[in-house]
Amino acid sequence: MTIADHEKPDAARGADAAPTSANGSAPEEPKQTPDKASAPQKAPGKTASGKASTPKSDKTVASDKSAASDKSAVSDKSAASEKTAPPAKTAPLGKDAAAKSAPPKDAPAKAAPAKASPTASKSAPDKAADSAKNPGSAKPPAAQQVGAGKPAAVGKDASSEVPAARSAESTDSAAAMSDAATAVRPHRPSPTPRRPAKPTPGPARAASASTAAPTLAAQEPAGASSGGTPAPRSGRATMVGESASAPIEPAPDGSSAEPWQAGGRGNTPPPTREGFAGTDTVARALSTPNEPQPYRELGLADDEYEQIRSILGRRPTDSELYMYSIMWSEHCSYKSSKVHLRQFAEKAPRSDRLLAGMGENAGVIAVSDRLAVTFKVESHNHPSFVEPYQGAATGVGGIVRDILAMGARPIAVMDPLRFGAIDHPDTARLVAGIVGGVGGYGNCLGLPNIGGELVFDPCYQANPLLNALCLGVLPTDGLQSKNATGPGNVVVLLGAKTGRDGIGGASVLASATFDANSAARRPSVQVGDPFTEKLLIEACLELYAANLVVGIQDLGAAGISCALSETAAGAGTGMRANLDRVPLREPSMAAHEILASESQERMLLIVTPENLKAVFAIAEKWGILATDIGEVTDDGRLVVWWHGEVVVDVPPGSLADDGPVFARPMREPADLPLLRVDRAETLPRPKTAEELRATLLRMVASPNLCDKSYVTEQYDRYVLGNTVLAQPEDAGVIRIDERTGLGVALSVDGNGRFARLDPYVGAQLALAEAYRNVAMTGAEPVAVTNCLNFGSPEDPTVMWQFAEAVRGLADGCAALGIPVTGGNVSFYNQTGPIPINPTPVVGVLGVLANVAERVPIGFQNDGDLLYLLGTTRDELCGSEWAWVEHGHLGGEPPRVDFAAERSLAMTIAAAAVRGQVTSAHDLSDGGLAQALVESCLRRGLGAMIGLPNTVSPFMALFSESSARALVAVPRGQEIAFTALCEELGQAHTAIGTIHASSENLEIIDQFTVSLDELRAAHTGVLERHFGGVAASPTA
Amino acid sequence: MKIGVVTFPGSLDDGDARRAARIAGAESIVLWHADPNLHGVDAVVLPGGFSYGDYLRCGAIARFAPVMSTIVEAARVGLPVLGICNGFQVLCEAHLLPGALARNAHLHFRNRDQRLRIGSTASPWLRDYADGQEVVIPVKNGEGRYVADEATLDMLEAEGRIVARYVGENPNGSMREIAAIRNEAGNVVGIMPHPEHAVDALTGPSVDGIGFFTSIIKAAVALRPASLTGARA
Amino acid sequence: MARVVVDVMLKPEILDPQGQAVANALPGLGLDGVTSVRIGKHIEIEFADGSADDTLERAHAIADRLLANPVIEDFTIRADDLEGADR
Repeated sequence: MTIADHEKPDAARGADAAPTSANGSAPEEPKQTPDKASAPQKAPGKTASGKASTPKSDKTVASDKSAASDKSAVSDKSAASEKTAPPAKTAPLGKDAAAKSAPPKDAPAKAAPAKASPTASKSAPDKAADSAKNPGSAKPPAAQQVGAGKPAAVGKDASSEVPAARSAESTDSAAAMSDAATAVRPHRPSPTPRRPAKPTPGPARAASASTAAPTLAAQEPAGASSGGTPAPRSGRATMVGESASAPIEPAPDGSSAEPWQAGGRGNTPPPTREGFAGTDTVARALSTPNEPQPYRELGLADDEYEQIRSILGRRPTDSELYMYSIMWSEHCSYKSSKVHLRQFAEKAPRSDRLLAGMGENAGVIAVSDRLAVTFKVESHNHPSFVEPYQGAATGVGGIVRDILAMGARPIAVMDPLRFGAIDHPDTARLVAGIVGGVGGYGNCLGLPNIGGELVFDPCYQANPLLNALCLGVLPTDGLQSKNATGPGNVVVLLGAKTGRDGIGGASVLASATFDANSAARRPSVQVGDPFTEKLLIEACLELYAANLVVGIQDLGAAGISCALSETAAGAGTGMRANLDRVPLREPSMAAHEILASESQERMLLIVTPENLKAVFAIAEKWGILATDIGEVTDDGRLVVWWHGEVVVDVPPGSLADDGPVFARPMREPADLPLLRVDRAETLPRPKTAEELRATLLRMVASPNLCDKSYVTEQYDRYVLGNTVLAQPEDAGVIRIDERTGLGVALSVDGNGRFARLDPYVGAQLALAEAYRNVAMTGAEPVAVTNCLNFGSPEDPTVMWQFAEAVRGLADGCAALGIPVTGGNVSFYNQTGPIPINPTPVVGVLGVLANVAERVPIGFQNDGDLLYLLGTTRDELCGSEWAWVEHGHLGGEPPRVDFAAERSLAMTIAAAAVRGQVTSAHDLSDGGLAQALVESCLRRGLGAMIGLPNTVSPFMALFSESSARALVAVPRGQEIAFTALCEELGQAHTAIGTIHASSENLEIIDQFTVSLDELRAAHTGVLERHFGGVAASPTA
Repeated sequence: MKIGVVTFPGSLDDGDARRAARIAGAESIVLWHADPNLHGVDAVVLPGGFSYGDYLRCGAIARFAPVMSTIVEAARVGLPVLGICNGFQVLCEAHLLPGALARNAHLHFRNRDQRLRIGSTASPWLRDYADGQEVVIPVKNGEGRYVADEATLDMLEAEGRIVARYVGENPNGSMREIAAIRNEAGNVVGIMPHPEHAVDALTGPSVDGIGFFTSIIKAAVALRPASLTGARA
Repeated sequence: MARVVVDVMLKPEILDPQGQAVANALPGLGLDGVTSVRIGKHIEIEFADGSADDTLERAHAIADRLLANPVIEDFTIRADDLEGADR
């Protein structure tokens, strides 16, 4: 049930959402245009409301620095935006520009968009053509209107583009809605409200309102009707404007500052609108029970919509509909994956270390009496394709906040990345952007990047995978709750202002399978601000240390909607929130936009009233905004106010927990049996020693096996001063206690090819590899996280792959005795009908009692003896060799042997403590050959190798049998080491020695290759492909 | 001996610098950007990081922090100041050191274990190094390319104020391979690589960086009265 | 020779951390009254030859395909010292 609640998949669209209508902006747009149109009238109202709040501006603090600029933000910003809007519209050129600029403020919403729509899809070429046809003519008017110094705009004038796109979208959505209006009849009359929210204005009044019309009416009460109106403006109702300079005392108790305390909303002019303009309140919903709603366009199925109506006992308001559509999306509700993910809990081995498991933001594992760590991997795949730098940056930012919300200090990140073919034209753009974004955000946040993956495979073309893992450390008694307990406690929004970032991102962007039209559906891209996140981290840690937080939740997908409903649902309480208080970057935002915004760098705190002042003081110290936006109640309702009206009144659990659950149809892919008999062992192999040598050199230079330092050098691995091992080591090792040397090791691994051939085994091989990598450092593996990247769950064959992978992973964890503590699902990674290879990425965390005993991969000492641990079989299917040399993928993946993996881990751990190994390197992609090359090149020491004769030299070098490792044993320790192996039943074969002076890798009786030649082949590959491309945050 | 390490909003390596000071045997003091009081420290480290996000120009905003006005004043009369990475950028923005740090020539952030050659030891921060000594210290920056006009570069060379140069591949395209410079008096040093990340063999590529911290401790002991009264080191 | 100036700005609704950081720093310098700072790129392109129409069009293509990221940025173009631009 709650197993997966907090795994937040990327993907989201409901099964029945028509792709063409997957437009997150749909509901907002119709409001948008009238809003803008009425700007001049509205501005004073808003300003007034903003001003009204100023005198008692006690609820928001900001840094001393931001004080002045924030101060007048409400009025000035709204004024500014309204002022700039008209020139924006008139500036551009060409006929479509004329259309855009034409509508005067009172133009009907539909008029402008209708004309603009031809240019809806970022019609650069169209515009180019237009401007080319008529470049000069536009200049004079533009210059006049934009004002001195602002030249004529040709093409995408900053301000013109956005309205254009918006209006275009609004056309679509207006059309969609009118379709809906005719096509979708309410399925039944709205039943009597089960629990009317507040004394509601009667239907009669609302009805009259709907004829009274003017757009403003709904918002008017905010400021204009202030008389006896609830006026959230007084006292506590402030936000953006107030800052450090404002007093930060809470409003005097008993003041009627809260809209909900004002009692008589009778003076409030009735809510009203034309079409969808204005604010749809609960009162209005009650009075217009049969109003058609665009639920399908928001991705909700008919029965889901009916369920919402039944939960509410009425039709949902626009805001409610939007919240349900996001919270019940695949992304937030796990509706397709839930039934499978349960196995992670059901099959989980018992672990005394687990302090928090699935269902929390991230699992928490005790590593000593005093210290615990938390870690989780998450995807941000789709956004990283649309805008690689910001998509990757915000992916890192999001997982870091998940870790922060657990009460932990984030201390390291890792980044499993997957791209299309290395030479595909789009790959360079994506590599530069995604790597730049991961580095740009993580470096600026001061988190060492200690490892990850870099994989190229054509199946990821147009579907790159950006998975990000974060590790945090906390005191064992410092675990934070996400529950909004304690009615009367204050709900505080901490961090950045709220803008139109990623609106609809959760339900639309992440779920839309990319196709030719994806550009047209782009919602506002989220931009990361790592500096603010750094301040947010420091502020939160200070709040934790001072014990000022009752509950905390990060704002990620579905923003405030998700945070309010999950915190309240978690505690079984209710909540009242006033959106007028939310500090906005764009004052014209509508209620549902504020609720859905995915603006980054925000957290939601639950604080006792007594502690509020102290919380504000800490926020002020770190220069971030903290705003009281509401309070915890005991009535089990989430009630959201906006401009003095109730726009949301729902049971929070219905959003957070009661979403639909699907048992989707599953079917083994039809091509799988054929694929699996096409075995790689039948492919032509190198026959001579010379061919073997050439194969080795090609292999180590191939995209997936070559040196990755071009990427990893773009990441800071030293910051915080606790990085003991980082890439290219098998696992990252971080010291978490300087006094005792206690540390943790982490590795993330996945292999989409193996999973394509057999998702059950493929997931287990990923688990086995991550487990082995962690074990290679000498650590004891203790916990698992996962990021499950798959195609569309609506494709039964993808669903089968998913189910098999989950089953394999759950069984594997049971066999290894380590639990899954959390993770993430990303569906819809496909372009057209072809999904990516199923790609379960598995992270394993291990504990190292003393990091000084960690074992690196590089050969250390001349003369050390080399042993191959484990058993090599004829296993080439899905191997890197088959792929690089033959472009072949077929057969059955290598066999998994968890008993052998455990034995191997125990052997390394025991040998490490006893000083019997100086290096250890796991064998995986590329087999023994790759391990030898990496171990030699790490510190430039050669080796002399006699291959075991149980298999052919070729097989010995390139087989990818699992549960194997290459270890170096100092001379004098070999007897003790082999005795240890015997004792633990660990298969071992002596295969040679480190030969430092030779500067060669010599395979006896086969070939010799110098380290220089190996280095030349192995390094520089990525520079050659991507060296000329750099990415940076835009502007 | 007290070494103060400034924490600006966005400082990242402040903890590392304090750890390095401790390992070297000094007492490390947190100096907060908004507090102009130097709390009686004998030397100041401006640490690496992204102060104020480094969104405008690296160091451009940090330079105006209240603590900086005190530091600039004290540095002019001899307080030893070491600016590492972002701290180097701040020192240049504050005109305590000439030149500027520009975006790396290859446009990437680069983190690499870097060989350096010490070029001048005429500074209280460099007593424990020898002229011409080669050391390995990590470099990690996106905007670490030292630039100055030819006259300034010539002057730095002529006056022996180039404290360290990159050996081998120039990691960022710095002019004349400059990795670190000092002011005329020698008390102010700016260095792009991170000596604080090379103080512990377990977590760094070497312990070559500890010398900056041990040097200043010795210098402070030798010059204690002078440095406390703000005379030239 | 013809010169075209391209200004690239983040779209209005896109967060500009850079501008925000600068705006927040100004009061510390005693420079009050600034409510918003947005930072963009100013790019000057020089063409060896070409008519006004032609250079603007080419500059547009350059801006659209390379200089600006249409996902989050807009741009404006103007001719600088370009006789005939006002034709």
